[in-house]
Amino acid sequence: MSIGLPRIRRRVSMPAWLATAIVVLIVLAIWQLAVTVLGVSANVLPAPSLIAVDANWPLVLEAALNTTLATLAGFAVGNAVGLALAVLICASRTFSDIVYPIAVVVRAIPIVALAPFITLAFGRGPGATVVVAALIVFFPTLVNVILGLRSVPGETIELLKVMNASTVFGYLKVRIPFAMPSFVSALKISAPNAVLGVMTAEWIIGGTGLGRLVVQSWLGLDITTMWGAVLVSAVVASVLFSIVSLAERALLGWAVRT
Amino acid sequence: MGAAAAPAEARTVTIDGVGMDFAVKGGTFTALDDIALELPEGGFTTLLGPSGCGKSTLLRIIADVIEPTRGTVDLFGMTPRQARTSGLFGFVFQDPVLLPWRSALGNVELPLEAQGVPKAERRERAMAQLQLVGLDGFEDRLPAKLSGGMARRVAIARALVVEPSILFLDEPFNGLDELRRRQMNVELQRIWAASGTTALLVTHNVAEAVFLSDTVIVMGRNPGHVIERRTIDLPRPRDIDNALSADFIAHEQELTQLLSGDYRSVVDE
Repeated sequence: MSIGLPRIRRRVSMPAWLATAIVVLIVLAIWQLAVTVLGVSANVLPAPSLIAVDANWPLVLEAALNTTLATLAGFAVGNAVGLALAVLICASRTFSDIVYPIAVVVRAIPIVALAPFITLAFGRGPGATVVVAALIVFFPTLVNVILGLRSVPGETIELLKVMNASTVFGYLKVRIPFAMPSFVSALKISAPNAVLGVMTAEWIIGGTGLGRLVVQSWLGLDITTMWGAVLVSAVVASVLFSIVSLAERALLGWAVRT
Repeated sequence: MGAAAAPAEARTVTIDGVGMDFAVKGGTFTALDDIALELPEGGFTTLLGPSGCGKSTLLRIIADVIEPTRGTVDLFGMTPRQARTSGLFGFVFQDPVLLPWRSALGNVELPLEAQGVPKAERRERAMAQLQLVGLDGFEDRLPAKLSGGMARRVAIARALVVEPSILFLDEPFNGLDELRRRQMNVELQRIWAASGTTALLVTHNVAEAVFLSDTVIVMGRNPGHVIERRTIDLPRPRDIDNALSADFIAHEQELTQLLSGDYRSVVDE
């Protein structure tokens, strides 16, 4: 590198999924090793190999399916409501004055405190679970999208006015697309949160998902199944997060900061 | 002073007694006071003045982006609102303000979309406009992949695609280096002449004002007011070499003197 332009080094990077897989394998290996070497009781933290062999996987997978479906439903409902409320709050001063304080209050009540009411209103089935997840999800989306809608540059707003564009046109073609990066950021936050919401609800309210299975297997001292449920819930949350990230890259190439 | 005796049919933009106050902490700030102007149709007029003289505010009042506190604006017999809602305006901002997720073509189509023009016609008109500003072949590029000058061209194409009666230009070449700015001035002159529209430019750049304008309105501050109206009678089309001619430089010097008079009076206060 003595003369001429500095050489641009192209970093040869492995695919992201491969890196993730390697990290996961390393963590599992350390776990396995630590448990064996330190002689941790299998009733507290079983080795991964033992979980793999001993957990009641059919039960875990069935619970995982239920949790996933509830998560997707709660995720969709919560985000749709958050997005719609954000647009209405930005479009109408009056609506904002009425709804925003309500949203803040709803958000401020700990979800655990609301759970009994939600059970009374929606029963003990998956409906209540979905509602809890949606409640957890909607607020970050609401706040982020409002922020995004308000981040539209002043001259762009003036452009809409000079073009004599209708309000609906302005929102559909300009303001909402401008808020999309904020919306997707919110989705990334809410993807794992939706899983958390569903599992919390299952824990408190009951149902047939992973949250319930963790409690049941814990009480039944089936610790390997308990850990199986924990690991699978992590997988569900990660997969959901990855899907959102992939969608972000596909849809928002224009906004990806380099 | 004023426009020459015009035929009764002449269509003009007439600004009369326009003033603008802004509420500020502890009272009001008068940004513009008692502005009276007449701009001929088809001409290129420039509002020239230092920052803070209210020239951009005046432009926005005429374009119905904001409403004046006092006075009236008449655009060819219409109020600013009527003219704006009839789709007679094209506006180029200080920044290109392109939508980053739309291609150059998509950005130029935007005002037509807002007007409900069918897709095929939209495409055709936007392509023609991109061609006029010298961007054919770049229609599929996203704004992030356009140079500063190209982005300004797209912004000009977007303003002209609706075939506006008035083209508003609010310091459109702000932030370009001097050479690029001069090139864009030559381009703008050509594009404006081809479109036949009435143009109203805001700038603080004296050379730009002389190069582009038929008429220069020199404005001063505290409050924003018109100092003088100058006719630039240099022959068209003008090219960069004209900017070195004695006449051109004389205009530049006189306008600069008028402006520095305003600076001095402000400093003296």
